[in-house]
Amino acid sequence: MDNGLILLIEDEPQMLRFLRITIKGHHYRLIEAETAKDGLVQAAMRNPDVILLDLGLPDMDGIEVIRQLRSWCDTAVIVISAREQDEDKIRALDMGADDYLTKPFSAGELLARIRVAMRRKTPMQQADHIFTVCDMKVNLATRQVFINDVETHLTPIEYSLLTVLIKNAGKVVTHSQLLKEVWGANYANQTQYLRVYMAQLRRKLESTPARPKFLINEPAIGYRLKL
Amino acid sequence: MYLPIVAGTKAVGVLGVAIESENDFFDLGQIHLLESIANQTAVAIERITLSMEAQQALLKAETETLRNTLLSSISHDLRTPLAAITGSATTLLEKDLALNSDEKHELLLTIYEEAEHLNQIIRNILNMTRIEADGITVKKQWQYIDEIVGAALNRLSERLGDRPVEMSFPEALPMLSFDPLLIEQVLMNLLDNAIKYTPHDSPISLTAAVKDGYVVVGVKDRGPGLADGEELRIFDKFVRSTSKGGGIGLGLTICRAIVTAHGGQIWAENRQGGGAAFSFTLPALEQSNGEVQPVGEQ
Repeated sequence: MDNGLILLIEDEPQMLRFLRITIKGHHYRLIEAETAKDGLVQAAMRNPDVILLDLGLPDMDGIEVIRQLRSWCDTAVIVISAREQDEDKIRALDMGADDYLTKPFSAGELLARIRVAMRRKTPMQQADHIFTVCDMKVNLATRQVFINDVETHLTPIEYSLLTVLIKNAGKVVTHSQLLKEVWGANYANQTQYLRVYMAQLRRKLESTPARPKFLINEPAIGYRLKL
Repeated sequence: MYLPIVAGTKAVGVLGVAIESENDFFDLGQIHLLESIANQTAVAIERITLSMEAQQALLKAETETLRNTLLSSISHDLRTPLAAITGSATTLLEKDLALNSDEKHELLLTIYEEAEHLNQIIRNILNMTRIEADGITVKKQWQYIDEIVGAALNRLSERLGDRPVEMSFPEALPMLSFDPLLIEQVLMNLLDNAIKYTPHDSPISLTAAVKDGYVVVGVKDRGPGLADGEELRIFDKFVRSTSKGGGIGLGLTICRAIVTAHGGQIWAENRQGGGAAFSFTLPALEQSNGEVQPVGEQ
């Protein structure tokens, strides 16, 4: 069984030990790099499906690694960071990283992120125009949204917000990415708009809006449609 | 004429007096008067300097005591979960010990839970130093409080398990300006206490309401409640509830510092029918012009 090839760029031996066992135990093949420089070389030579990148590498700023990677490849990148690096996390995501994990994280969280990233490698089948999560079913062809098989009316902006999240299902999408996609580049800083519409969306789609099941808020970062 | 102002043994200033007309002289009486003005000034300056020095010394002593209390408190509170982790891990590593799968599972669960506990302690310590070092760095953003409640619940979902969580949030809550990560920390600390101090199937209730220009957020449990007179004291540093199972006693102190930095208040009381209720307020300010109405749709 082979679930795919993962490049792990991480310099801390304890983290390496845990990650190696977990990743290999779930039938992924693994390449390890302990420096950013080696990581970039391995990424180019081996063409991995997913890259796990620690933001605190000794030889290069993590953001710079992502910038260089993104200049020639679009492999899914999951960044690993400590909580003190919140700003870096947002910059990494806006620079093109796909998702993040904050230390400490559980094996379950790690594998969930990897699965989502691997899925991106095989794009959504066109026949798959029906998207389902919890009680919600979205028909992307007819632009209809159903909650428990009852159609719910969404405004154009609400629907567009929802489709951006569906397109990135499972991944965190930053405030500025959502604003740019739905409202346009000039609105990248207007997070209040986003919050108003997210609140409306939750009220229409979640059974308990204050304790959402799939429209998840990632404080200070963005939103995630949880699968 | 110049007169030195001497406080203690060193000169701290000079008193200079000029006479308008060139032919005038100071008489003895005037000289004495000026000398006593210089002396009085010197005494006043000396008194202020001494009191400032004394205050500084006191502050330093207080910081020193605080640091010592903090250090001993931290090392105790960090060692307790560490001891549980070391103990469980070494038991699992022992070769000639036959454990059944339930026992193994329990030891592994202990390691995981205690590591989470350590993480929570460290996060609180980091926030505490952040607050004490340079006032608090509040990164305010306009947002809804229920979004952050949802995020805190989501983060604690494993620990909450099947525990009933009652929510009462009116739909018309205004947007507030606050630091999402800091207020999330307040909610997590309050929820953490409710989880820690009450039985695992005891309900927790979360409420929000608008009152007198503030939004009041409540985290209420049905546990043993607070002992008499504990309602204020538990917000002080290193004071933990008399109930067992508590952490370092920093959680509520941090809650208070964060809420105060947002211009709100936090308090605790016992509930009718048993249990503790923690409430905090955040000011419901007007948003700056033009930001209230979202654009994009008519």
